[in-house]
Amino acid sequence: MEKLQINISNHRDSPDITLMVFKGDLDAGMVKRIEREFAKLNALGRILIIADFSRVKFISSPVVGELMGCRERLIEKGGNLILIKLSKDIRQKFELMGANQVFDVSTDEKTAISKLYWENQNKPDEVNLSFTPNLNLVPNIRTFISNIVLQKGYPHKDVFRIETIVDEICNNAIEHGENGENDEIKLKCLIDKFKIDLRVTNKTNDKNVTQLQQLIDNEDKSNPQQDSKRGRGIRLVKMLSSSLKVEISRQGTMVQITKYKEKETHPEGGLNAGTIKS
Amino acid sequence: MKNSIKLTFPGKLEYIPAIRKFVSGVAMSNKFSNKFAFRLEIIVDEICNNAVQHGSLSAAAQVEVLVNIDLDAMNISVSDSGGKMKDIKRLKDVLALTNKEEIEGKFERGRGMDIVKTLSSDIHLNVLPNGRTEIKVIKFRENLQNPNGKVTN
Amino acid sequence: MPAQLSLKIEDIKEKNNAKMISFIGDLDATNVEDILENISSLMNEGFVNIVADFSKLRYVNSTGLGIILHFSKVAKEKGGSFKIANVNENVYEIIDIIGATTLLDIFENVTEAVQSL
Repeated sequence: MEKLQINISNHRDSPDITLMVFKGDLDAGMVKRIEREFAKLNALGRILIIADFSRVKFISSPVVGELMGCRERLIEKGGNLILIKLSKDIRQKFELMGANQVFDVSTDEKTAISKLYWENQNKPDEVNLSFTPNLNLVPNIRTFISNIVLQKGYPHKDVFRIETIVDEICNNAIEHGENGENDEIKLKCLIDKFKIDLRVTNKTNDKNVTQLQQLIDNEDKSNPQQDSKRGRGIRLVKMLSSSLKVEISRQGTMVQITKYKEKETHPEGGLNAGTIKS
Repeated sequence: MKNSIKLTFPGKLEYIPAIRKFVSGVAMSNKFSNKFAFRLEIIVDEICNNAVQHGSLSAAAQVEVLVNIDLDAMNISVSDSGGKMKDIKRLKDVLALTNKEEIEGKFERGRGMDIVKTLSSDIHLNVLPNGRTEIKVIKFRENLQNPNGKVTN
Repeated sequence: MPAQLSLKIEDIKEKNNAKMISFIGDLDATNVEDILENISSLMNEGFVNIVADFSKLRYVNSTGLGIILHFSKVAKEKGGSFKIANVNENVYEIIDIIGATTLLDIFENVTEAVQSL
């Protein structure tokens, strides 16, 4: 049996994550040592851990059990343990023990880091777009954002609503902003497990500032049949969103929307869930 | 009006399908052919894969895609932060090679870059002053005089 | 979630240890690992004669082609074969660019591919 070495460090690019590199055999005699190492990390408040198994050929059942316990304790504190680079033999052993149903396993560090941040820290992903104010770009942009939220596991109904929101706010920014040849529209998208924040900014057209402000102020009193196309658009966005905020100044107009994910009664899942639109 | 788009996204593979479809959709909206759009989709996919897999491991690292649409060409630039110097050098070497067997032998991602080279009209690798690695590609609209959209000078 | 790709796996009655696998969607870096696992398991179970129907495969990149070449190699090593049929024009071009048209067994349609098993 090869003597076990455990190398523990803060991840150089994501220092709030601990990287544990195991080298050697994880036989039953190593259980106490592993328990001690995890306890030390726990005491330091290090709860996001990636365990690298690329240099491990053998793992005993008691060690698998111990790792399960360590993982439980991390989860209780809002953290997690993700295993990476498991050999084929070790993966088969995990399957036999049912451990593959318990542990999060990734092929590489980057995927594991991404999982920890998304699942355990609820860190949002940020996508930014800036584009020429051309209406012809809007269909592609709304499809793009809707494909992203679909990838992120949002239910179909939300995906469609978000697509509509993006369409309306981008159209609005192009049609009613001050958009010269060198101007651009900016769309910032922050997406996490629970919600999406969309922010569109454009240069303000002085003539439209008052009109937009009036539309927002009078939104509750408006009549759908008499309203302008713009009024209907804003109402639609407001109805589909969880919240809507508009800031208008001479420097620029900013429309900010938040849309919380709604729970589906029949959640879809699995590898084939969702079709990305072209 | 000349159209341009700048897009930044987290350096994760899962974003690439949406991004490649977005760029190919923009090509089709600008009256480039379906074939052009498919080839462009492959180019964007391969370059973005390269940026994600060889760029920084930091959670904050973003990949940047610039798309400029002219009447007869699309210009794509993809840049990422970080990336080891040895990977950048290997990529430079691959882009300079012309022999297919040599490419496959030298570099695991050589195959992908070979496809990009073949499908593009022109391709350049730059290390930018801010430390980002950039791959720039231009693809001309294919026409009777230039059926492969290749740079012929 | 990865790009959309699903596999439809059916028996080929005319041949023992043979399966027809239809690839439906896009094969790229986001889903190669799952496909690799699925098809490798099949081959390990003894199904070493495979006809891959690409009629519904819209898109493939170099990573996807990498595993197709891998399946072809492994099938041959195990005394079987991995044959491809109904490749669309766009996908064929990519296979051609990487020089894999001579490395892969490519057929016009599944009937011819099955007959060659």
